[in-house]
Amino acid sequence: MNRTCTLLLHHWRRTRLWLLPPLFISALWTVSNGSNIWRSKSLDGAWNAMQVSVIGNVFVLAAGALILVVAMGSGEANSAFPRYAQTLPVSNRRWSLSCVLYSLIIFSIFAAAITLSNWYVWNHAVEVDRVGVAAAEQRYFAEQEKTRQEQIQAEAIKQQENPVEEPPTSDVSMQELRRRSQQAARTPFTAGMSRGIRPTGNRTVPRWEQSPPRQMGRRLEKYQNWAVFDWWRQPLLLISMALFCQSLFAALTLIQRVPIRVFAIAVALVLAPAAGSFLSYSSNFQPVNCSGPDPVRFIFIQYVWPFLLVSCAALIMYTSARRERHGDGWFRRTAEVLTWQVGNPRLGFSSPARALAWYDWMTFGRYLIYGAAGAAIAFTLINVFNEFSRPGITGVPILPICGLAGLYLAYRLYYGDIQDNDAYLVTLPVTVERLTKSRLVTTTKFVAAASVIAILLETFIVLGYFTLYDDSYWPRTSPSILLAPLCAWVLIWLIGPLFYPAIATWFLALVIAAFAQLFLPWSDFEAITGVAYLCLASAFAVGATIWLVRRAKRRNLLFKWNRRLAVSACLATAVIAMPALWFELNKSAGPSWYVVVLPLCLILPLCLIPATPFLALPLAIDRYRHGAPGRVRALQKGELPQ
Amino acid sequence: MLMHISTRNGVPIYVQLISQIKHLIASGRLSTGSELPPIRTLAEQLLINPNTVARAYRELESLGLLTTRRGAGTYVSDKGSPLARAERVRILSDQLDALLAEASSLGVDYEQLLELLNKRRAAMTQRSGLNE
Amino acid sequence: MNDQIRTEETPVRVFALTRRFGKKTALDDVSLDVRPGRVFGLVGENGAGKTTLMRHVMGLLRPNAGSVFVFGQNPVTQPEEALRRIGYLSENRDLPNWMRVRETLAFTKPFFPDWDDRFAEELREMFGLDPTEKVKSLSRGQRAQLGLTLALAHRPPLLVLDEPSSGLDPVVRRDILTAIIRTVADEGRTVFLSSHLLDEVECVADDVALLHNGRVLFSAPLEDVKARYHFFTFRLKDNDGPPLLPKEAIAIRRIAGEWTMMWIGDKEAARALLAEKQATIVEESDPSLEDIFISHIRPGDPAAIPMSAKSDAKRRSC
Repeated sequence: MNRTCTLLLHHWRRTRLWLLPPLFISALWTVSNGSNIWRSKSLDGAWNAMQVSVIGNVFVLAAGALILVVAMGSGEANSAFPRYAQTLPVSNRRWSLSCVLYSLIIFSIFAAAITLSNWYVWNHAVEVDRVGVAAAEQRYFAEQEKTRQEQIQAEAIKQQENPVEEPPTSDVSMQELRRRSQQAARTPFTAGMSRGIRPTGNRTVPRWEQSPPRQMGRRLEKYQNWAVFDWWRQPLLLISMALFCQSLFAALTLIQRVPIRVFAIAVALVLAPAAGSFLSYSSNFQPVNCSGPDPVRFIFIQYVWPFLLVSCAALIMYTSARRERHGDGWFRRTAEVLTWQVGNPRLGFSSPARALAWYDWMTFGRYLIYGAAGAAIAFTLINVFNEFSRPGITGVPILPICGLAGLYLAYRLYYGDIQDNDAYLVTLPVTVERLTKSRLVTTTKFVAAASVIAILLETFIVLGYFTLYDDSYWPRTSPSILLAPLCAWVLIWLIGPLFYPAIATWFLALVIAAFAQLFLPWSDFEAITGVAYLCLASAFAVGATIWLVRRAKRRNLLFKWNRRLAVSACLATAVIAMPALWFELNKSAGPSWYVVVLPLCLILPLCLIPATPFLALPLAIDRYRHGAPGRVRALQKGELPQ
Repeated sequence: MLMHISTRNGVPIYVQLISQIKHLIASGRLSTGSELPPIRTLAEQLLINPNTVARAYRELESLGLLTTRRGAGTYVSDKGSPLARAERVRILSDQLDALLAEASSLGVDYEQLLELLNKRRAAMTQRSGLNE
Repeated sequence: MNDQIRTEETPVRVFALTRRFGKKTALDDVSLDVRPGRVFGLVGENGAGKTTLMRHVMGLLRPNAGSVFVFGQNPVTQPEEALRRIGYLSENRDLPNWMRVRETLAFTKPFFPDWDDRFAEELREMFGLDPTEKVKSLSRGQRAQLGLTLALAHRPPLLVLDEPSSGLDPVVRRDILTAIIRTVADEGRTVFLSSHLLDEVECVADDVALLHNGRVLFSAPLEDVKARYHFFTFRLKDNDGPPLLPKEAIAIRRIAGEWTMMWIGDKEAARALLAEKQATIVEESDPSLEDIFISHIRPGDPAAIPMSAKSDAKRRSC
């Protein structure tokens, strides 16, 4: 036990600085959303803000998980079990379990802190609402009383003016009165009435609890002020998924020695889903949402699955740690057997282009396609389990997959180490132009193939499920599918030379949005975020293009065919997107010209983005060949290969 | 064939080669008409630059000790004998010079040296006589 | 030596090459020429800039100032023409770890129009490399052998070898050197190699250049270099401080009352100078390349001046 504690402290000392950025962002986010909730007038608005807060924090949680991966690996290739730790008197089991336990503790503290602060804020909002509803109730009954009194007086006056000795009239009037009072009793006051919602049904429920502002997602729950704790049942699943992803990252060592050297790659892997979600603009961060009244599935999803995921994570970490320490194992042999060879080198290659295509397939193409296939299956199964409770589900998992793959490739090419396999490639007699062409063609082919395979797999699984269980529901494809491969392809080459600026831009937008929310009167956080992202992205697009063009010109890397492709990509995007956008903007509340023109000015620069890969790719290859910083550093240190 | 190349004493390699080949010829281990290894082979075996070997062969040829037949290799020329004798004398002279210098620095005078020489010669004759 | 490859251009011409990495200057105004059909040995300590210079020759680094030409071509702007005539063995034996031996041969072949399959097979068999073995499981020596096979198989007129023997056991080292010498002997190939194993360079090189802290201290044929350096041991009349000697004398050291120095230049001038200083010359000898190297790098090191140059001779025999 003592040794485990020592290890946990050691992990803390190693990673505490790395955890600061996500903690800071999370705190900022929570506080800004919390202030929104505090100030909100209606409980519905407060509920929305709460959801946004939780979703955002979950997002930061995912980022934190990935950052933790890099931090715990000390930036070495063997992130499951760093070299310096292998010589310590620590067993594989103890090390791997300590990693998992540490992550679990960190995430739990993180989740608990946020939950407590949210609970505090939410209670306040609930109290305010309760007071408001009570006051409205008082007013309502007072008014009703007043109305009834007035009616009685009117009747009395009428009787006095028209003296009728007919008992039936009084009976009628008495009956009338009774009916009216009964009618009055049949419309009790509900909290919804104070919020402008029409009362539904006439069940006798406590007045304040009737027509709660929003369903919590499952009909089993009631609207209570402790409900805030309940919200972390979903994130519990997400924490376990984050742990699982963390272990998968460490498991990369089982397949291939991957230099996971830079903090930036962990952050960039978060950039991809962010970009994807921004583009598709759907809240896809609640991966499993049990909306059916099935208690068994509910319990399974909420409790059993997280447990299973954490166990799997622990097992994977253990296997990876063992492999790191002791070398090859059954996993490596299986992976080798499963590798499909394309372009048999036994027969020889007829041209350098073919040799390069085979090389690209073996170094990243096959991983991209296998990864896409595996991830598509995994994500689709999750969504099938979810019974497609949200529209446009099919195709959504491709976004993060493509983004991740793109960024990984960009990193490998641009910040490659001298220990990277490409070190041999650049000593062969090939020009940068030929390498550019080859990479462009192969990447396009592989990304397209990966996307197609992912979509096909998803469709088959979904169709299979629904054929067996329910043929009344057809999966709907979301238009975001088309954007996903484009995303990946752009990210691969754009992010390469502009890695740090891109990440900085993204962070900046997030921080601006969080700050703005604190100080601006409107509480529409999504609008602020959108505007911030848009402005910064446009500025980034313009700046990036200018910088890339100038640099490429200086090094004579603006090839004719490249230029043509870039310009046509730009024009194509503009021609397709602009009229549609103009139409949309014009449709909504036709106000003065600047409400339409200004967004267009902001969005038009974004059309430059599809062209940037063509400019960036030759720069990336050239830089790798003639001295990327990683190679230069290694040169100076005189490092030798493992 | 045994040839030694040393890099520590600073003597150029081709000079070492030349002197060793001369020694081999003088001592009779390389008789007249016998073939020397081709440049390439010798260079590979000694792990030295073929140019160096070529240069040594060229110098020896200019001295008349070797003849090169185009396409057939390098051979010890029959003009070797008088030069071989001169070479023998030279080798012995070098060693005698060293002996004399050593004796003088040790303080052994010439008379004692001659006495020692005779003694050693007698011992050697006795040993060889026993062996026979 | 009979089928010499005709090249109109100088294989490697480096002129005023300067390269900086951040604040550190790796190469400072380096100029040298590699003449065709000769073996050029670049020597220097670790970190002197040998690998950096070789990378410039391969077009893997851009000069900050100066120029590099390989057979008259700039390897940075015209990699195809320049690199096609070079067989390169990198210092780290960079090879894709995941490829098998036969795959590396098949992969490299299409890039070189002069590739000779039979010769490649011959070399591979001579080195005893298993074609199905993966590169990552090869030993260090085998990686060097595979790298050399890939460099030689397309029969390039220029071989650029970065520390070919470093880290290798004597058997593998012998194999590699034999292969190199064989190509020089057979085909008159130019070899540009760097090494810090000076006994090898002394045996194998025609021309030698010494690189120290990014500067070329000398670049000349080996015999000229050897002829210029002389080693003197002498005694001074008054055994006080070190004698004042001009810059032609380096690595001055005192051991047991005797002074030693390495003299660059004419022997007679040294003798005259020492006579002037009223010194008695105890010993005169020829230094080896290693002695010259050390006396430049560590002028004050007692080990730089061997006590007796004639002792502990390193022998190599066939």
